Amino acid sequence: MIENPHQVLGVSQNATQDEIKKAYRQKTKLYHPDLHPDDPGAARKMGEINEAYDMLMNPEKYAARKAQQQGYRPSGGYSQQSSQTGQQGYGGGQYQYGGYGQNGTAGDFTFEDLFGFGSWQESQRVTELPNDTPFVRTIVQDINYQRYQRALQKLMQIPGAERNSRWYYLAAVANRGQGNTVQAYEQIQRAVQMEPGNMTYQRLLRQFQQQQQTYQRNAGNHNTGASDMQRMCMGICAANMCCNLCGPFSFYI
Amino acid sequence: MSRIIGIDLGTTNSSVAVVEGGKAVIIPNERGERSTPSVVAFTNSGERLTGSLARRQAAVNSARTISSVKRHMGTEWKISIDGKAYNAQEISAMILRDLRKSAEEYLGEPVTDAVITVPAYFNDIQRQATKDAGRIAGLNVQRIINEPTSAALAYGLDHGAAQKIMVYDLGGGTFDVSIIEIGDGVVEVLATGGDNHLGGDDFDQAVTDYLVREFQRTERIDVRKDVAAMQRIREAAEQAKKELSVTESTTVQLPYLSQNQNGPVHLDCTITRAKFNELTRELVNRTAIPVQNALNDAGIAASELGKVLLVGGSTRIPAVQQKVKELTGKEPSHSINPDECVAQGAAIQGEVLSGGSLQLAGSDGGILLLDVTPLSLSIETVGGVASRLVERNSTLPVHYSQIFTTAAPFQSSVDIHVLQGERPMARDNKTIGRFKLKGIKKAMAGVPQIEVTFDIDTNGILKVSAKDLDTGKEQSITITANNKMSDEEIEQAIRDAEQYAAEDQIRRDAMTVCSEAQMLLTNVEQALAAEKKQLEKAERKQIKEECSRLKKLITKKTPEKMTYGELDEIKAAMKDLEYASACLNMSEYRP
Repeated sequence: MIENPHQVLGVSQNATQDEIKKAYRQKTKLYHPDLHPDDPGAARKMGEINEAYDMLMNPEKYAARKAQQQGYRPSGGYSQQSSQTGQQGYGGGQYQYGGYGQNGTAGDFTFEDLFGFGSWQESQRVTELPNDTPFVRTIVQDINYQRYQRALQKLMQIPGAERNSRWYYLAAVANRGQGNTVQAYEQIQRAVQMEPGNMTYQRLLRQFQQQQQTYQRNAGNHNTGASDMQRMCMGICAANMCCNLCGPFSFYI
Repeated sequence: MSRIIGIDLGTTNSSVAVVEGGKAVIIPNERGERSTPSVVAFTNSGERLTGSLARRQAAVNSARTISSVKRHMGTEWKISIDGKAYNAQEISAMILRDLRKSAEEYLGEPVTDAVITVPAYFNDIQRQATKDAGRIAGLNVQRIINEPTSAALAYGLDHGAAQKIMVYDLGGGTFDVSIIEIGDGVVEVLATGGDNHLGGDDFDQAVTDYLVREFQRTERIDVRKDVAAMQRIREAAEQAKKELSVTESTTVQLPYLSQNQNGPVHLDCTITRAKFNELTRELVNRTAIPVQNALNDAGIAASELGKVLLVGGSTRIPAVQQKVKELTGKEPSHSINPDECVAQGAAIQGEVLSGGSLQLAGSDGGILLLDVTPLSLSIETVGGVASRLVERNSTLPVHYSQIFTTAAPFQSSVDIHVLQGERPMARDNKTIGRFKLKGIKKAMAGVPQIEVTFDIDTNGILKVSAKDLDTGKEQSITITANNKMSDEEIEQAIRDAEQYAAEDQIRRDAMTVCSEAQMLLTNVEQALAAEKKQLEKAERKQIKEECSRLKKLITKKTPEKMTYGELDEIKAAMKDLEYASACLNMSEYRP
């Protein structure tokens, strides 16, 4: 990962988005591989410029990676087994540790999650916040009356510059109501990335992850059915992970 | 480097363009058409037809006529003709070769390089297949670019003012939508989305199904098993669809479509635009989700769009235009030709790559295209989870690496399973490659550090490598399809294609020579009959002998089977006959 994206683009630390965009375009015109067909290093250089630009324009995407890289600490031996082949019985296969931390999803485990106590509400209620604009309030109402389609239409009208974590959260709830689960999942991840400390967002994200686990468990593709014993085993294992790996996560292949 | 042509290899129609005098111009084919139907046919005599010739005979030769082959790109699909199996790349290559020939005739020079467009939503395997098709057709594919991006490039050449635009591209077989920002001489794709299996063909199918149902209802005859009748209905359905874009109602009449105990039965059915809209409403609605996703990914509201461009023949359908208006709140622009802009954009990109000095209107420098990868890329990690490395809509080229570790103790190898798609679970995404990194130093789970690197080049083609940071062992693959053709296979296909091209050429030459010989014979015989009395007996005899010799030569074999040696023999005999009959007055014959 690039250390100093500002330096790569040649802008000052407090450059505005417009300045960054301008600098980026200038750089692309100098270094794009289309303009240097004979230079094998051009793609690499341009890749760096693209990454630096993305880091400055979407910083939340990179927060988790940064943490991983700075504090990379190989984690000690957990009795987790590969489920790559899908044949070994006790794999952590059913719980997606690998999914944690990816793309900055700083998901934290609770025992509820592990044992499936968490209640899954079919329709999510959203509460109005004091600083919601009147327009956003109508969206909140639409969601609470389960008029998801209309809520989404309204959300789509909000210009890009005004799309904050609250926007992504509302979009996630509405999309989930509408059945667009994959999109909703991405949006709630984004909301958490933008505002990691918000408990409401985290709770929704956890519900998603839990739903996925259920889905995996039911699908039973990777492991044979989950016995209680096995669950216990994994619970301990996962609890272990929680304690030991509070900080950076590594990704298991 | 010779000039780089731009090719729009479409599902139903293809076209080719080149930049001349700062403008991208469409090259007409040898029949004077500005687009060539993407149809290939093999006649019973073994001759290959492409374009409108192939399309015209489809009804009588449907088993040996191939259309919409683009839908099979990157799949295991094969068609067997006269004992030889052709894959989608080889069939596509026949269309490409035809386009290349048109370009060579137009430019008067050999053409070896091309930029070919693909739907933005094509995955890696489909892109590779398209590149291979180009190679088989004897073209160095300098770049694969996305169709909507290409259209935006064509638009941007004349409208360089800073703005964000949406390209809504509903073609014959695929649907793409891209959000693009133009400014400072840069055409930058912000987001793209689409559906690889939604296009004009589906609209035709909806109308075809309706006609079949109606015929069954009124005449109690099921024609679904009758291949020739179905082909006629399909053609009529397509025609009706086109007519309904300009009129409110159309009548489909197919005389002698089938028969029952009372004799022949005709199909006569009126379709209104309202009925058509009802039949295709689902299809039109399916375009809404990719549009919303693309806007979301670009992070903008529809109101921030400066322009909405319609690309692809299917955007002529009024209900589609209405839908676009509904989705974006904007009247779609008609300032570009929906059938030609894609090839034009490809030609512009070709010019940029060959170092040309094109300029975007309203900017001082050159023109540069920044495209994105349409689908997220991930590898499978523990639990069958797809761990994303590259997010969709990342600007190309991309270089990205991340450190992974082992999941089991003393695991000595890892299986790198590369996936493309948006779903969180590995198995719901498309597998685009798989390889093993072996020889990892035995250690507890989580100790080894394995760096996985993704490199996507400007063609959108991916290379993945995995490296054990401890031992320095490295393993990498360039992503290829299961059915990806090896270099040898491609070489063989190139040779085959060239051989066919040569055969086609000799066949055409033989036809020309034989018809000329026939014309000469007719003329000589006519003149001989008229002037018989004025000739010496010896002269008459000589002419008659030459005539019968030539006749024998041209009837000995059908022209399709003649060799160049035999053609030379015929030409020599023609010369002799002309010489012998010089005394005759043959005003009509012009060699």
